[in-house]
Amino acid sequence: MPMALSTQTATDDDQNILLARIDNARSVSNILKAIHFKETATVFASPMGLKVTVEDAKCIQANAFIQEGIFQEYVIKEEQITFKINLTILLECLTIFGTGAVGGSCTSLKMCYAGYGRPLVLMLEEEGVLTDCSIKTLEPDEVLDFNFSSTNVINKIIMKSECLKEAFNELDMTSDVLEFLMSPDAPYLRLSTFGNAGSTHSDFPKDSDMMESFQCAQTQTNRYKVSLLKPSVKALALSSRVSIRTDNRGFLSLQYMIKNEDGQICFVEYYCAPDEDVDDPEH
Amino acid sequence: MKCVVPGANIKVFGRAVHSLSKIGEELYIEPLDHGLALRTVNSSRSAYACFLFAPSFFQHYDDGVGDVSSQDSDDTLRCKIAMKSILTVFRSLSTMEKTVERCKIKLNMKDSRLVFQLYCRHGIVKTHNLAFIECETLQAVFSKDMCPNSLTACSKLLCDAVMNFQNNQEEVTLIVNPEKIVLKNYVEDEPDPTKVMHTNLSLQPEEFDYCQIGVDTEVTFCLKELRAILGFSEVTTLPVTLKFETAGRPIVFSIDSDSTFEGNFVLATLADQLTQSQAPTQSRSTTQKSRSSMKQSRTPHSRSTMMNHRPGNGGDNRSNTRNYGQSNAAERTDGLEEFMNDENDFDEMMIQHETTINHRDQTNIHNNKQTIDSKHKHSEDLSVRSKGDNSVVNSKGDHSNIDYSMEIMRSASPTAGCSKTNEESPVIPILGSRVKITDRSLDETDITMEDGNHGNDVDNQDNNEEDDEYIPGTPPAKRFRSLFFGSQDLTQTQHKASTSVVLAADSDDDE
Amino acid sequence: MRFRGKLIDIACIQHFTRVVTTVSKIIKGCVLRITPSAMYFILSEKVINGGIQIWCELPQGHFFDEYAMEGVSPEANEIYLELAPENLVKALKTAQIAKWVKIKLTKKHTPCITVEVDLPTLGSHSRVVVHDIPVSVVPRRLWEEYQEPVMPHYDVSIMMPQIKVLRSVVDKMKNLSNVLSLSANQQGELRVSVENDMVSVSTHFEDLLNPASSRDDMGQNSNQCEPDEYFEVKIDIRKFAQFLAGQQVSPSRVICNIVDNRIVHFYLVNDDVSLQYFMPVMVS
Repeated sequence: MPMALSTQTATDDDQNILLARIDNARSVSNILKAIHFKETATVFASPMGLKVTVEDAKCIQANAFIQEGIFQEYVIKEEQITFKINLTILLECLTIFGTGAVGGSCTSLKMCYAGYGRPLVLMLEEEGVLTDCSIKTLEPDEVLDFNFSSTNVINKIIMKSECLKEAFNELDMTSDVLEFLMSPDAPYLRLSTFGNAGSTHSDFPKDSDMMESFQCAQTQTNRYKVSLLKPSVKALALSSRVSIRTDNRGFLSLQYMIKNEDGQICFVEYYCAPDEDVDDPEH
Repeated sequence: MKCVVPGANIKVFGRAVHSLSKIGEELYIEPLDHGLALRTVNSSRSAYACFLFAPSFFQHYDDGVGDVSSQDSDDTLRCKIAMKSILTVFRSLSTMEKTVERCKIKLNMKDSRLVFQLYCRHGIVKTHNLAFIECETLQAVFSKDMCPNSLTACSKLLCDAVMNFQNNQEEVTLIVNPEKIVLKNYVEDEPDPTKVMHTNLSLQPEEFDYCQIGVDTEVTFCLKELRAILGFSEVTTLPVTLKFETAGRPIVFSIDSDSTFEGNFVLATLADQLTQSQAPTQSRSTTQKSRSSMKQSRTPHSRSTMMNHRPGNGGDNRSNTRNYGQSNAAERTDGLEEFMNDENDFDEMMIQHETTINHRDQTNIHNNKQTIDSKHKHSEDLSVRSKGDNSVVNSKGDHSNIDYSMEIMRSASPTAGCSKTNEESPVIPILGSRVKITDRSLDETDITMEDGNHGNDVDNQDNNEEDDEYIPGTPPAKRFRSLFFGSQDLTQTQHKASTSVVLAADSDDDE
Repeated sequence: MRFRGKLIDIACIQHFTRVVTTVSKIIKGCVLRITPSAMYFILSEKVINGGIQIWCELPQGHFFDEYAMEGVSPEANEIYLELAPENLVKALKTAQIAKWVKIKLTKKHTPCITVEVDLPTLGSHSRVVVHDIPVSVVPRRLWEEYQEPVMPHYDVSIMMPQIKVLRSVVDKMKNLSNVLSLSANQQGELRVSVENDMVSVSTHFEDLLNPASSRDDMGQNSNQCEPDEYFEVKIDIRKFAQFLAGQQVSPSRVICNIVDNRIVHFYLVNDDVSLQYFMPVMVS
C-alpha cells in the first residue's frame, strides 16, 4: 500500500523517534556517496550515530559511520532504529541544491523519522530556499555478518590513500579478480589483475613514504572480485588514509578515514569475501 | 629488446601512443638499430602512422639484435599489440607525467609478453605484461621528399584553423595555389547538400614557416586523423610539415624533433576526378607532369566551371556569369561588397519560392556525379570516374589507372628508392604495377609483384566497379582508396627467396 | 531581398552568441525574421500538438555596427528565413575573439546566411573564415504563422528566482520524475515539486515579486482569488531543465506567467534582448 506522501508531515517534532540536524548536509551526502554502489541501503540509528550499510552479492559489505557528534542536534528516542531506504533517492534529495563544493553557501538539513512505516522526512534549506522531501522507508533486511575480528588479522597495512587511488582508478576491468599479495618479504604489497591485455602488478615497497604502518606476519595471496571492489574507489577518493587488513580466512577489510569539510573524521569500511575458485596466478 | 624512456620523455612517448590510438586498433612495435618504431594503420587502411624514436630518445636502448636466443641477426622482434592494451599503460598522461620517473620496455620471450614497467614516485612499481602477437612488419612507403607541394606550419596555425570545423565533420579539403591555402569542409552529396553548412578558411602562404606550391591542387582527407596529429604536435609544440601532390595521392604529415624522434602520418586522399576538374585546379608550370597538365587543359577556366556545378545556378547562364564575376570580385576585394551583387539573385530566388519552382531540377546536376552509396565496402572510389571524364583518364598515360597509392616496401629508409623505378611521377603507382619489397638483408633488392589483372585493364577502369583494384581484406572507406602495405611474415624471413607481399594485419587472427 | 550586418564590438559578438546559443538549446529549427529595426528568432509550433512557441527579439542597434536590409518589397520590408540556430552557434564558435563578424544573406549553392569571421592571427595577416549556413526562404504567404504570440490573461505572474538555484533543483528532480508541477501565488511564492511512488520533493521560493499581472488590469477577476491561492501547471521536466540549462543570456528579469492548468509563459527581459517561451502544459 503506498504510503502517504504528504510534505506536511513531521513538523511536529514530538512524534519523531529520530531527529538529526546538521548545518552542512554535504558531510552526510559525501560519506553516503562513498558506499553508493547499490540502490538500497539499510540505516541503523543508535545513540552513537548512524550506520548505513550497503551490500552486494553476499560477498561485499560497505558501512558508513556518521557519528552523533557530526550533527548539531541528534535526538533518538529508541536504542536502535532500523529501516531500509532507497539510497539513490536519498542522495538526490540531500544534494538538491547542487554539490558545488566551493560555493560558500551550504545546505542545512533536518532529518526526521516518526517510526516504523513512516517516511524519512528531510527539510533542506539554502539561502532562504526550502526543500521538503518525504522518502518512503522499507522493511529492513538482515545484513551479513562477516565475523571479521581483529584477533584473527594476519596482515595489516596502513597507508596514505593517494597512491592507492591511482591504482584503483586504473584497475583493468577486463580482469575478473583483483589479487592482493601481502608479505613480510618483497614485493610486500602487490595488487595484480589478469585481464584481456595481460597481467598488471602494482608493487608498493614497505619503506615507501606512503606507508604509515606495515605489519605483515606471513605471505598471503587472495583474490577478490574486481567488480565488487571497484566501487570502493569512491571511498578511496574521499579518504586520506586507508587500512588494509586480511584475516586467517582471507577476508579483506578496507577501512577509509574520511575528513569532512569541518575537519571532522568519519569512517567507511568495506568487507569483502575472497573469490571462491582460486586458480594459480598467472605469474 | 630493452629500452628505458626517461621521465622527461614519457609525455612525448605517451602522446605518441595516444595519437596512434586515434588511428588504428593495433600497435606494431619494432625495435630497429636506429630506434624504436611504433606504427599503426586504420581499419580501412586509408591512414598509416609511424613514430620512430631514436636511441638518443631513451635513457637506455638495446634493440635486441644479437641476443643469445637469436642466431639469425634478422630475428628481431616484430610484434603487434592491441591498442586497448597499450592504453592501459598510458591511460592518464597527466598523472603519469607527475608520477612516473622512468618507463622500462622489455621483452619477456619466455612468456611471450611485452613488459612495460613504470617506476613511480614513492618507490611504487607498476608492471604491465602485455600479450603480443608476432607479426610481419608494417610499413607503407611514401615519398615525401619528391612531393611538389610542401607546407610547414607551427601547430598553433593548424590547430586554430581546424577549430573552425565542426566536430562531426569527417573530411576536409585542402586547396592550394601560390596565392593562398584554403581549407574547406568536404560535403558529401548525401543526403541533401543544401542542408549542409559549408566552412571555408583561407590562410596566407606567409603564415607558414615554409610554403612551396609546385602544383595547384586540392586534396581531401579525414579530419579525425588530422586531429590525432595535431593533438600530438600541440603538446610537443613541434611544427608539422605537409607533403602532397594531387587528389588521390597520399598526403604526408611529418613531425620531426631533430634527432630524437620523428612521426609520419600518411593519409589517403579522396580520388575524385570530377571534384578535381570542377575545382580551381590550374597548373602553372608548363613543364608539369603530363598527367596534371592534361587534366587542366580541359578546364582552363575552372572557376566558371565550378559555378556551373553549383546547384543553385545550374541552368541559368545569366546568373552563372554574374556569379562568376561576383566570386572573382569577392576574392579580389576580400569579400567586402558582394552585397549589391546578391540582390538580383535573391529577387529571383524569391520568385522561385513564390511560384514554387522546384529546386530539385537544379540539384540534379550536382547529384549526377555521385551515385554510389557512400558508406564503405569496396571500390566506391570508382564512381569518381563518371562518363564525362573518359578522355581525361585515358590521356593520362601509362599510369593513369592509379589515382593514388602508396608503394610498399620494407626498408630502413622509407623515402629512398621511389624515384628509382619511375621517372614520370614522384610517387610510384602501386596498384597493378609493382610493389617493391625490400628486406633489409637483401640489400634493397626489388621484388616485383605483378597484379595479373591489372596491366591489361588500363582502359577498362573507366567503367565503374573495378574488381581488379579490390584488395581482399582491405576495404577502403568511402572513396578513399586503401593504402596498400607490404609486409613480411616472420617465418618467411628465413627464406629470402620466398619473401612476398602480404597484406598487413587484419587478416590475422586477433589473439 | 538583401541583408548584411556587421558586429565589431567583442562584447556584442559574445552577447549575440549567447542569445543564439540560448535559442539553439531549446529548439532545433526556427525562423529568422529580419526587419529594419530588429532580428527575431521565432518558433511557432501548433499549440494543439503540445507545441512550443518562442519569440526572441534582438533590436539590431544594440548589436550591429553596420546593418542594412531590404525586404521583399517596400510594403513588406521584411525577410523570413528558416534556419537551424545550432549552425549559427557552430559558425560563431571561433568568433569569440574575432576582430569582426559579418552576417549576410547570400546565394551560394543554396540560399545561405553567410557568417564571416575575421580571426586574430599572430602576424598582421587577415584570416577570414567563411561559414555558409543553408537557409530556406519563407514565402510571404506563410508569414502570418510567425507573428508575435498574443499574451493571454494570466492567473498569476511572478518573477523567477535565481536561475542557477532553480536549475540545480530541477536537474535533481529530473532524476525522480518526468513531470514537474510548477505553481505560484500572488504572495511572491513559487513552488516546484515532483512525486513518484517512493518520494515526494517540493522546493519553495519565497519573497519573489509579482509584476502587475494582466489579471489586475481586468479589475473584476483580481478580486476573485485569494492572494495565497496557488495556480499550477504540469510541464515536461526535461524541456524545463533544457530551458534552464541553455539559458545563457543572464537576463535582468525572468517572468513566469501561469494560467491555471493551461498555459505557462516565460518572459526573459534584458536591455537588449527579450525572449518569450510558451512551454507546452501537460494535461492531467
